[in-house]
Amino acid sequence: MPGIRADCYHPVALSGQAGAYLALFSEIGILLLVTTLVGALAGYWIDKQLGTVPIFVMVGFFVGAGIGTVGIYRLITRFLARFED
Amino acid sequence: MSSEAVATTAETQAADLAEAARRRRVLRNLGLIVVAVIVVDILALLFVPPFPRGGQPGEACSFPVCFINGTLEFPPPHVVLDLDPGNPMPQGQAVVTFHPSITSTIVTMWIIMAILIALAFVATRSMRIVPGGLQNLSEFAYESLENFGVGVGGDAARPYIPLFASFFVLILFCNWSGLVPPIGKLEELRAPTSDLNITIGLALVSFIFFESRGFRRHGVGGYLSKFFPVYEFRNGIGAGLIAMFVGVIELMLEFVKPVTLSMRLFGNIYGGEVALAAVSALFLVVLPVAMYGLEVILNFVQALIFSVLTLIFTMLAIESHEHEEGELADEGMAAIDDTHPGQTAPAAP
Repeated sequence: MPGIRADCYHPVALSGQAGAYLALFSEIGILLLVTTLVGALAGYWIDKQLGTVPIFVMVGFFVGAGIGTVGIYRLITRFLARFED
Repeated sequence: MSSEAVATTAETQAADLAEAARRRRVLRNLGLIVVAVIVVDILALLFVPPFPRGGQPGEACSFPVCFINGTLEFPPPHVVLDLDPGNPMPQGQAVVTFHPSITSTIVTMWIIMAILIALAFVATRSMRIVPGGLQNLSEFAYESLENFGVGVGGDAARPYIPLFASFFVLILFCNWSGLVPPIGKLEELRAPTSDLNITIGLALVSFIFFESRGFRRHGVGGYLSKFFPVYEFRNGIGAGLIAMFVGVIELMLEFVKPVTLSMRLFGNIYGGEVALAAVSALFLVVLPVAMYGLEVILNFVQALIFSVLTLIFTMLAIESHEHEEGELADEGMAAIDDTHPGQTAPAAP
């Protein structure tokens, strides 16, 4: 079992692994949601200032989604590196 | 057939009959309870019918909108004590407002904190080597959480188990408090984690904790180099720019962590309470009870997710990012490979 040391080979410790994966999946979903939403809202604010709706909404949406995707990639790689060492 | 075999068969049959009778009794009692609760629910609907929010008992209430509105909680908590009565409460559509006050969620959280502190005091007042009662329960709970936390973060997580356990227990009780009938029904009491202000506060405590652990472990320069890896410029301009770009994204994502922590907890608990209120308003007892059971589990899971993520973020903050430096250098070198063929990355500092 990856990441499980001999001194914590215990049912509760094993469920700790399951809990960590549960938290990771939960974080993945909401990370993409929040970054995309923040990007779109920031774009909307810029659009309202400049009167250019919907150009920056779209730009913000895609930038937010891109940052969220990078964040998910970084989170998963760091998480798996930690648990599969 | 021998007399012994006959006796054994008779005993087995008698045991089976007793077991079947016990099951029938249990099922009958459960059925009676369900019928009794449905009868009470119908009587309550007839004799104490719902009335519009802010109205008087006896006023007409149309199904289903008025029924649902009467049980719904709205996101802003009730102000129990206004600490700045000279200024009017902010009104309107503003998303973020500031007005110092003691709200129903703060009062409920103080009550929960007092109960937990009292429990901790009673459980540890006369500790014995062979624990019993509350001490036994507390030790079991803490050891389970410790094993769970070590399962998540390995041995390096041991120093952070008290914080992990504290977050879990506090948030669990805050979440579950919304399922205890007086809380959420009286204006002065409401589940703390169904208020965004409280969850933001919890997330900020978590954020400050894991960032401070990162700074403490790596030093200010060492920790900030994760976000501003200027040393990557030694591998070339392209590698440096890519590393800086990734670092800036990493920095932005660092500030997203408290947002996701607070939004997830608030959204799930508040959403759960709204769903429970709507289902309770629309259906008789059976579906609300099923929903209630689901909420008990979901509230537990949300407390676990918040505390586990705090632990994971702490472990990620304190872990060495030397390997990431190597990754960044490799990524940078791959990107500029065409323009600088043959260049090799030096060892990470």
